[in-house]
Amino acid sequence: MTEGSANKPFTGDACHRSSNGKNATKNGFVKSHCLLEQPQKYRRTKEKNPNVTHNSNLYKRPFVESFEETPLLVAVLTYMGYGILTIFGYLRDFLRHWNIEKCHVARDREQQKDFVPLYQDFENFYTRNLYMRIRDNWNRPVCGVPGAKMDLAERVSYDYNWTFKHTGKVVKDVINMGSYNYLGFAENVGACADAAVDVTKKYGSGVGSTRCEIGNLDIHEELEQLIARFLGVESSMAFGMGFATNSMNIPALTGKGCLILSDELNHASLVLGARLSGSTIRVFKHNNMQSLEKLLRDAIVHGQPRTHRPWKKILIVVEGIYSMEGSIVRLPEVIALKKRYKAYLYLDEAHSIGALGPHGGGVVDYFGLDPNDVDIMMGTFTKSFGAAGGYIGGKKELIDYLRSHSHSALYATSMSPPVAQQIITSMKIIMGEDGSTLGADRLRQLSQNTTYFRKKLWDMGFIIYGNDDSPVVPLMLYMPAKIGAFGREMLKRNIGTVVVGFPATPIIESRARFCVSAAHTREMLDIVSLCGTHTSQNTHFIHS
Amino acid sequence: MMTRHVFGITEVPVRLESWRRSVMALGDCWKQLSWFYYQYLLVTALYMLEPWERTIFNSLLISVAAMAVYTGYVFMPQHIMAILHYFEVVQ
Repeated sequence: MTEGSANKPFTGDACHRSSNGKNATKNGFVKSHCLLEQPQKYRRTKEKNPNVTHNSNLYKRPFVESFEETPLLVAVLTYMGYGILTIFGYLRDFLRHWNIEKCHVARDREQQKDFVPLYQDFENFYTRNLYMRIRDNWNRPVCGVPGAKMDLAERVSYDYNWTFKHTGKVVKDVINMGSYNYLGFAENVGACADAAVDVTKKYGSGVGSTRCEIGNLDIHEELEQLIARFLGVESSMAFGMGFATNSMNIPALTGKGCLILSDELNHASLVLGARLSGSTIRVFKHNNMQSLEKLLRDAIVHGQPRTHRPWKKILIVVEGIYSMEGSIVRLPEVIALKKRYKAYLYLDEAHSIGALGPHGGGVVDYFGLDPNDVDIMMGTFTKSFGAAGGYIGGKKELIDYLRSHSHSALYATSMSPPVAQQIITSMKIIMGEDGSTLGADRLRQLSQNTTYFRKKLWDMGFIIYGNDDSPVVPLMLYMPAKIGAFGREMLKRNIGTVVVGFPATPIIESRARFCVSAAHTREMLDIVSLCGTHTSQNTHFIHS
Repeated sequence: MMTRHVFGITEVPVRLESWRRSVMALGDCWKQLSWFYYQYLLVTALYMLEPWERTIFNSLLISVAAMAVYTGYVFMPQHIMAILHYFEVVQ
């Protein structure tokens, strides 16, 4: 956990690259021709950048990612901090149990005291004793558009975050570094908002049925054709909720007898969909192509667990940008592996669509690859399009199958018309079809902002994770008290950030996550990095 | 050196009396100490705890430290004599 898995040397089965036509065998291992170059075993070179890709002939541009190791002292102090909090947590639980202290949290009822306890697992302990203490950093009510700046309703708590009261004041013009507003389409003025208002006047806002019954509007058809054109695929389908797109469609695509190879850090929706499908799930290390190749080879050689029959299908599930790490998937290598081992690829572009690539086409556009190589392209409209919902794009037969077999299409209400119109308008702006250069300007602004902000934070010495081109910037905090301190200090300086701790991240790697937007001006980013420096002098971040 | 802005732009050195300088040094000292206390609160996660919990932890820590210092004070002469005896510096 403290080491980036992408740069660990692969110490699995010996896979030697054959050279001069001679096939080296060692210790009776089957001679094999691994597709991807292996970093040699026991190599101890001190490379300047240990995360440089080993297969650079597949990449057209430099792929620079960095996941610095946690410094040892910091890890020890973080564990110590958690230890102290755990001890006091036990003390408070003891006081609550013996009714010395008032218990605000759910408890087993008197009649059920002899039953199996419901609230004694670690998750509930953590929520009661650690999360509650700094709960004021989350669920802050936003009273207005969460654009580049937003208004927050001020809350105050007199019993240490168990209950909140609104003071009635509104904190105005808080710089918003937490919304996934990559292209700045979260606004209440402009072409998108006007079009959405017109559509509401025409269609109303509720649909009242599912896609399969009578909830299929012509605006949905128009949207789907537009998405297919935007992505460069044959056909696509749009759903009302991004999470449901993943969790309801993977069960329709795979079932028992299939194998799902999913990345270590995949989103909860992908994990849920994979588990619901009933397929066998194997996890490969985050963005580690050697680990993925080993799993593929094992799957093909050994087949299903007991019967050794071949797998019905092998589905590789990856994301475009991983939102907690800021890393970008190594797509050229994944596609090379998929073609070699005849697996299918499911790419979840929730954060990358609209945010990466010269035309906003996502990871596929960023690497300059062919969209037909990716079997199932999934994405959401929440992030770059300022709307809600998700889509799946691919071949026509696949989408026609999904239209009748997906749970989301059969049972979930279809997308609301103003939301669909918002997507249509914003997608047309990004593609440049509305006649202005607003889309291209925003894409350029986003990539400039990303580069500027990352460089600024890096020069100040903070530990930043992720790829140099990703608009998601995680800043490492590590210690539990700094999670709360950072969130509150930034709010005092009128900046709203998202701080993340366990269980969304590993327990010692808590972080603050900034989401750069095209709507941020350079002055805003300067203010944020300046306040970050002031806060770091107060909370003493880790400097590399 | 303390400076003062004249006409909003130029910085002019300010002459301070000696008592004012010592008061300011005390203020700086106090700020530095409170910064160190804040760092201590953050690193030990006491920042997240309620005041009575902080009191318990601080008193435990101070009592343990005080006991360690007292033990050192009581036993240090014996230990130093034993070390010197081992190295045959003194019989």
